[in-house]
Amino acid sequence: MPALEDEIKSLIIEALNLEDLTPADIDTEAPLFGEGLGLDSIDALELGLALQRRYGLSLSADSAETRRHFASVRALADFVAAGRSK
Amino acid sequence: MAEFVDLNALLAHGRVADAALAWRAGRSLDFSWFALTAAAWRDAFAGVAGERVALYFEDSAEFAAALFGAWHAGKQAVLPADVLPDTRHRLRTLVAAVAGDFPVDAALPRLHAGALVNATAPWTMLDPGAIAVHVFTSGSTGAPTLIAKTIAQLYAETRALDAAFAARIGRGCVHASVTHQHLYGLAFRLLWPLAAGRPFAATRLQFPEDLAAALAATPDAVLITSPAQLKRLPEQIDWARARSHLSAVFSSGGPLSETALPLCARVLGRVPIEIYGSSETGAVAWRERRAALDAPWQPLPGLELRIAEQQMELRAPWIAGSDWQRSADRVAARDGGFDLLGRGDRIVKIEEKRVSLQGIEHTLAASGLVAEVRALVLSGERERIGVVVVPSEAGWQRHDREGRRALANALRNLLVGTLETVVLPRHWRFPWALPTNATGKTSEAALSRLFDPRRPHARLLEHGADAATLRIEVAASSPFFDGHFAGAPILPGVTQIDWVIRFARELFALPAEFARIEHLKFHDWIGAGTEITLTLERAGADGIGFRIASAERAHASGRVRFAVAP
Repeated sequence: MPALEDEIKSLIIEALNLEDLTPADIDTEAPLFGEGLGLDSIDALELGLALQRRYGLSLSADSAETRRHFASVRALADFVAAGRSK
Repeated sequence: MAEFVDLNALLAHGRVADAALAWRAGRSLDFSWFALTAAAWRDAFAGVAGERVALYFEDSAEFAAALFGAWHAGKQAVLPADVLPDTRHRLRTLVAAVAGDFPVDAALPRLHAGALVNATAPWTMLDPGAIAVHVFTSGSTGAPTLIAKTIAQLYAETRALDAAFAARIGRGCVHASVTHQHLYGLAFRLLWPLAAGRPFAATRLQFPEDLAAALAATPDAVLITSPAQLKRLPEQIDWARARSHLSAVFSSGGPLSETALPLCARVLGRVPIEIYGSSETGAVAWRERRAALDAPWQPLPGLELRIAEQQMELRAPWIAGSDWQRSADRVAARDGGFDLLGRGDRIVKIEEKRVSLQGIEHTLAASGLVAEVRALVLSGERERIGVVVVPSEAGWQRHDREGRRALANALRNLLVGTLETVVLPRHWRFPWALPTNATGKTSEAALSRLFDPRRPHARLLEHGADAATLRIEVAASSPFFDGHFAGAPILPGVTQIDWVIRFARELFALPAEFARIEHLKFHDWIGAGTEITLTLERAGADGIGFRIASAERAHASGRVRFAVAP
């Protein structure tokens, strides 16, 4: 799923306005929040919105479960592939 | 309907044992649970030698019990906003012990509520004048300062909230997306419900999907939230049931934007009651923009205010001191209330976090890497802090040796301990000088223009009276690559000319109008990720000759002419 992973990296950079970063700078396996890419709680809200807009994902299920998918680009790509409606 | 009880009398007075106090994971915690748990915490805190203890809990019900336990053991509670290493370091000199969700830290002994040994000790009235809590806020220098509140101040504020709003809101569960570790959350989602006998949710609703689910499960609910949450409500979620259960929404931390207001009305079925206040003053005024977008702020019952020359002074039983306290915000009086005009100092609010721009500048200026620095707020979907740094000699050395991003990271790391994560600057510019206008002033607008994505990062290598050389990063993220061309980005020729004119104007005094281009030649294309050198040379009073080259190749050359406006 490297194509989807790259697409999600671009989406993260664009949605969160991470200037100076290119998709190549984001490690597919590295944590997105806290250590690693260092995203914060506002980014989590923004990213949730962007994913729902772009892929028609439903995040209405159990949030603890849902947010586990935000751990890394790899986890997000699996989540999007399984749940996308567009 | 439950009786309103002042906080100093809550445990001494008590409530019926099975009165609902809080909801946790779908189960009710009653008043007898609260009294027993508070007693266990009282015993644990009674063994601490110092007078201050720090509390940090995710769970609001456990926090409430620990807080009252601490007060009844004669302790003052310090409430940190997080438990990050810098915060814990600061706590070492402030508190004798900590309780709650703290990581193991040898310098901060952590207490636990043990088995109850002293359950029969009667509850006494709390001394209203005793200091109850200390919260952190950033003062005008940016360094976190502690603000103390007495028991009497806290219960006076809950009384004012109840007088203003009790009749307007339902009797259901009080939910919140904001933490009780800050004063707004402490007063609205915890102390007011405790005093008024309303049940509150123990778990904070951080994400909108939690919010929708929790509201759907509890009729007649009240929501305590903030613009950060309200302006990011996803419309894809099914809110129908949540909407029908919601009786009131409170929002504080900053004004809700006029674009977020209709979103909130659509999704939640109502506009919020907005609260204006600060850690220093507590809640001060409110407004509900249902009919008019510009409804003025109305003072809470019991608050006296006077306004002269845009300065507002406040007096209330929940504001420290019996004298008038001056607000840092400038205001204009209107219809018995007031409009906010912005602050008189350089404190800004980003995502409800108060940030001192001057504090950022002070911290960075002390680094040795900085000759001049300005911090400013960049507008956009998410407001951000941008920092313009003119590096010192040492700063430029770091820049050239390790790269621009490494210098930005080094400077950002200096701010990590002083700012909350969501307000750490992510946007940095390193010009060779601060932009100045004809009178030598550096305007905010000129600083903002440095963040225009059309202006590339550039390092001035040489600059004489008649010539200059710049190294320019042709970043893949440049907007000029959009559609030019997908999969094979090439920098448009017109962009190259734009950069020549932009930097020529920044570096040389030239006539105002662009006139024409002469001898233009494009030798070779420029791809994304290239580093190019731009050489500018004066060609008479009205012209600049240019050459664009990279390590391997020459890319373009020519001359631009300027003219005095006709």
